[in-house]
Order: sequence, then structure tokens, then C-alpha cells
Amino acid sequence: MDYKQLAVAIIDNIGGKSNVKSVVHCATRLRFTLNDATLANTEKISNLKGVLKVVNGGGQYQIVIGTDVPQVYQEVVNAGGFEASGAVKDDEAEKEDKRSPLSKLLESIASIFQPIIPAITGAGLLKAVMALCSTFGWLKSGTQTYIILNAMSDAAFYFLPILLAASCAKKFKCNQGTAMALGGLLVYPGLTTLMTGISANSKAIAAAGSYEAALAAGTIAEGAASSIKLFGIIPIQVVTSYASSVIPIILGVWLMSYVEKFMRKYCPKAVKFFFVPFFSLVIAGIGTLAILGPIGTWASELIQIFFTWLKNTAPWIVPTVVGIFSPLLVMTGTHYGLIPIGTNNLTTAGHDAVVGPGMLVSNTAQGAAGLAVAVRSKNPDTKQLASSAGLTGILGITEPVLYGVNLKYTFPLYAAMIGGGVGGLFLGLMGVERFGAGSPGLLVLPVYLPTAEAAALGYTMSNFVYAVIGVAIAMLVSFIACWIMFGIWAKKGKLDPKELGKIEVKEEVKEEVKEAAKEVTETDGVIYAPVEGEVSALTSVSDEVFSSLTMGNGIAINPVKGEVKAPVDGVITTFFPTGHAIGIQGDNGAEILIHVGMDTVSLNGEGFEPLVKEGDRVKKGQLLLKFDMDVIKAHNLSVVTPVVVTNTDDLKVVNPISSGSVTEKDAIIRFEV
Amino acid sequence: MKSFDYTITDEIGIHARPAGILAKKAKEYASRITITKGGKTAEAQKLMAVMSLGVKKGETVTVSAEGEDEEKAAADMETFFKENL
Repeated sequence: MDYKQLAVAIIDNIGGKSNVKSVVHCATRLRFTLNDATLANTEKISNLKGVLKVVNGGGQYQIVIGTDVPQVYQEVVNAGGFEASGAVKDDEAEKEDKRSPLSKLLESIASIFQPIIPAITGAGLLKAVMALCSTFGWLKSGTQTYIILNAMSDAAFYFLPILLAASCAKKFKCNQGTAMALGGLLVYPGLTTLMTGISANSKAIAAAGSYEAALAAGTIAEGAASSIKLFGIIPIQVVTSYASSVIPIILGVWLMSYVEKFMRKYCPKAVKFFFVPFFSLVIAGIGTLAILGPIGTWASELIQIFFTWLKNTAPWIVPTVVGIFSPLLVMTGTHYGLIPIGTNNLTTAGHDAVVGPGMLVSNTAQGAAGLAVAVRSKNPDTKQLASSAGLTGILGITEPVLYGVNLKYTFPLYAAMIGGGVGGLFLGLMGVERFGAGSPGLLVLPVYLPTAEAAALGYTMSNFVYAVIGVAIAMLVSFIACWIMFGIWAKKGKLDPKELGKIEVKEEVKEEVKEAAKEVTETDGVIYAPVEGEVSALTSVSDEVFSSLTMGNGIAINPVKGEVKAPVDGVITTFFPTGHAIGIQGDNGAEILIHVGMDTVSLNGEGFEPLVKEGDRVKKGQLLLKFDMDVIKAHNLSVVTPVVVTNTDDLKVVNPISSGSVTEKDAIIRFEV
Repeated sequence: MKSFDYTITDEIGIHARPAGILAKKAKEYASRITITKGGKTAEAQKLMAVMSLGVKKGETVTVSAEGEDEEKAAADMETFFKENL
């Protein structure tokens, strides 16, 4: 979603920035306080891409966006030059929020990924194409072409911390540039080289048994360090790599936002400009490298210990567990605890059942879940994203489908976990092994064919066959589960109406309208139909002054009889000499304008017979005016009659609620003072 | 306070449509804008009030603006009247 474009479109259609008194936001909505709510083009705004619905009431013009409202708010504030403020708590929105805390967390992560999804999807697709070409031998690794294309496809993933930092900065409300610098720190080549070197040293020392032994064996150099210490005291954990990592940078920018706020508050104005980013970078940088980043590494180590134990205890269950939890491991970067086990297995024993099979079914299951969403959703954008992401997921590149679809809607993730678990169970029970490495997906299946060494160990084609069956099971289960869950989520109302397609949105709107009608009690203001005929939306009449709601909110009626009756008890405040327009001050607080026909002022009274005059007190249903519809039509003018509440601004709610044919007995507008 | 007088030239006087645009325009300014005809004054932002003045062709109204941006408001209003009424 283009936040900037949306923000500009909202401001344009809301009456311009001069119409906005103030704007804040809560968890899911932009909340505008407008000078003149009638200037807002609600229909246009609610049809904007990214807007779920518009709620106007209680003095607030609310635009429901969803969890990425902070980013939209930022753009709105920038575009309109409004004063920004923090998110407000909203009790009624909280009550509407039916999601569990876990769902909210996952959706928060998904919303951070939102702006980057196009980049990841495109790059992911390129990666998939490259993998395909490699499999068919059209592309050879190591060639210049391969290196360049690989750089193109991998850049977005390698530098993910920087991309994510930019998005996090908007969400956590801190400086975007500084945040991106923090992301840059995590993938800085010099730092990575340092960590790789230290890591190699400590591995050599461990292998040789002691520092001296390693020195003697020549595997380390004189004075080689085996750990990193900043300023000589702060220990910096050596991690495998921050490239492509997700959680460290999110936590890092989150920390930075607090440092920045603190520094902004207490820094003397004269030095604020350079001190704030200075401290933000230094403190957040140290914090991330020393604490936040390493938390992930410790978690990875725990994962490694767990899976080694599991493999030794009940090896058949490992692919099941991996099949279920693989997406979560990849998201938190803790899969780095798992992968070495697999690599080690391949190099020492020549086969691996711990990592390969489980991730294979998990990735294909994720892709299948994405495809299920693509098929069931009626939103064209979702269909596009989910199908391309689902496809690349099946081929082994899961970031687009994981962050762009499965995490966003959460239930596809659950479906993929189920599919992966079932597929993994099959593979575990059948003892399927992989004999080579490769990005787990359909394209990696060849490594399940027994190599010469594997055949010697007794593995046959059945291994490959079972692998294929396992993948098929995983994909089928995941697809069906996701399909069913889509329906369940839709019924429970947890889905964005746009996913369900336009028809069902209309149903929802009709439901809302019925609810609104039920809620309103008899004591609230009611305006009845002044003429008999077909009702239509005021926004659809041909005269822009009426359709833009400039005069106020209301409704239009296409009369079938040339009689105007008083819609309420009240006083005639205006009766145009030409007889075509009547203004009534209703006793119930509404000021109502009844304008018979379009441009009928030009008839100069011809065909109109006023029966009351200005200042008269009238009762509801009393005949006020007789007009000749044929005369109007003979002059090629429309007889459509707008009925407008001209003091809409002073009222709390104005709800034109009727549709269809009305007589004087029907209420056409309800309102609250 | 800035004000100007204006004689209506439009055949139909201040009818619904120009009144609506006038009311909308009047809301753009911080100043309080009023229209007076023969002793009766209406707030320009209030559509009904303006229409109930029943201003016809040939009649003269006094338009006043009072507030921060009264200069601009009055000038713009005068232009509006000249162009539409």
C-alpha cells in the first residue's frame, strides 16, 4: 500500500487540509476532527485502496485503516502539516478487536513488513527463476551472470535489516535515517568479517582442545582473539550473521525509539541536532550488538541442543516438529541453530533427516496455504500477491508468502503448520532422508534421489517416492486447512470485507444500516418523506452543490405525485417566491431544505402553487406545495427532489436510512442532536 | 471589520445553489461573515439563514467580515458575489 498516496487522497477528499482541525489515530483508525464534516466525500474515501470503512459520528470523522495506521498517520501528518501526536487508546475499537495477543503480535510483524513486501516478492520471484534455471542447467553458479543475478535477487534479503529498519522507524515513531543506519550496522561487511574471523578462531580452539594446541597446529594466528569485547569490557556476542535477520533489528529500532524520545526531551536545544542521532546510534547500536542480537543466538543454541536431543531420542518425530515450527524458527532467526545439524549430517554421514525433510514440507505447505488464500480471496490485489508468493513459496523461497500472506492473515500460517506437521510425520515414519543441500522446495526434490554412497547404504528410489508423497500430503492438507479456515474466519467477521468481494460488502453495509436503524430510539429525530416516490442517495443527484453534500447531508426522492407535505412539525423559514424550494425549521431541531427538481428556479414559479407562506407554523403531513410535474419535465428539467438537513454540522449524526419507495408515512432521515 | 455593499444582478437572486456555495466558501475563513438586507442579518455559513433573507435581483446587501483574515475574506467574498450574483 502506498501510504503517501493514500494520505494525499484522504486529505483531498476530506475537504482539504484547511478542513482538518486535528487528527489523531488509535490502533486501527485515523480520527479526524473536521471543521465541516459535510465537505468530506465519504463515498470516495471508503473506496480508496487501504481504507476499510468510514465511521462518522460523535464529532469524529474516523477512517478505519487497519494495523498499519501508524504509517498512514505519519504520511497524513507530513502531507497536511498537522501536529502529530501519539496513538490514542480507543475502548470501542479494543472491544471490536477480536484477535488474540498472539495474532496481534504476528500481525504487528506483518505490518512492519508491509512496505517491503513488493521488494521481497520481486526478489523472491527472481530467486525462484534462478533456482529453476540452475536445475535445468541453463544457469551455472560461479559465472558472472549468476553472480550478478544473485546479487539482484539477494540484495533485498541480505540487507533486510536496513529495509525493516525504515519501516520500523515509522511504526515506532523515530527518525528513519538513524534507524536505517542501525540496520546498516548489523550487516556492515567489516563487522561481519570480524565476527566470522572470531568465530573461526573459537571453533579452531574448540577443535584443537586449547589455545596453545590450536596455535601449534597452525589453525589460528598469534594473538588471535576468540571473543569480541567493545572498549575491552562490553562483550559483543558473535552471531553467525545478521544478514536477513528480522527480530534483532525490530528490537533494535524499538530500543532506539525510546533513546531518541529521551534524548529529544533532555538534550539542550543548541546541540540537539547532532547529539540526538549520535546517542541514538551509539546506545541502540551497543544495545543491539551486546544484548538484543545475542538473545537470538542464545535461542538458536537452545534450539540446536533441543533438536540434537530429539534426534537421539525419537528421530522419527523430528521432521514433524520441524515441519510445524519451521516458519517460526525462520522468523526469529533461530533456524540457525538447526541448520548446522543438517549440514553436519550431510558432511559426515552423507544423509540428513533432521533438517531437510521437515523444512521441505513446511515450505511447500506455506506455499500451498498462500495459494489457497489466492483462490478464496475476492480482492484482486490479494489474489495477485498470494498467488505469486505462494508459487515462490512452493519453490522454496518463503519470505514473500510468510510475511506477505501467512503472517498477515495468521490463519494460513496455522494451516501451513498443520500441513507441515502431517507431511513431516509421514516423512519421519518412512525414514526419508536427503542426500544433498538446497533451498527446501519442489526444486530440491532431486536431492532425495539416492546417490551412489546412499545406494550403498541401502537407500532406494522408494526414498524419493516417499519424499514426493510427503510433499503432496503437506501441500494438500495445508491447502484444505487454509481453505476451511478462510471460511471460518470470514464467518466470524475477522476478515477484511474486501477479501470477501463487493457483493458481500454490500450485505455488510445493509446489515450495518439495519443495526443503525434498530439502535435509534423513537425519541431521536426523525424526518419523514415530504414527497411520495423513489429514494436515491443525495450524492447521486446531478447538481454538484447538492451531491457534494455542501448544503448538508440528506436524501433525494424522485416524486411520483406533485405534492409536497411537511416532513416534520415546524415553522416555514423560507419559501422561495418561485415556489420551488421550502426551508423548514423543525421543532425537533433539524433545519430542512426541500428543493423540488433540479434548476427549477429557472421556471420562475411556473407550475408551482404554494399553499403556505414564510413564518407559518405547520404540522407534519400538512400540504405545503402543489407542483405540476409535466411542466417541469416539459422544460427538460429533472424532478428529482433533494431533501437536505442544512444544519448537518450542528447535529451529532445524520442518517438517511431509507431505500426504495416512500410515502409521507415513511421516515427517510434519522438524526441526533 | 471590513464590509462592502453589493447589488444583486442575478435574475433569481440568492437561490439555493449560490447560497450553498456561498455558505461553503464562508466556512473557509476564520472571520465571521454576515449578510445583511434591510435590517435582517444572517451568518453566511448558515445556508438556511442566508436563503431566508430572500434576497432578490436589484436588492442591495451589506456583506461584513470580522476576524483575523477579514481583509482576505471580504475581498474574496466580493469577488464571489461579482462572479456569481
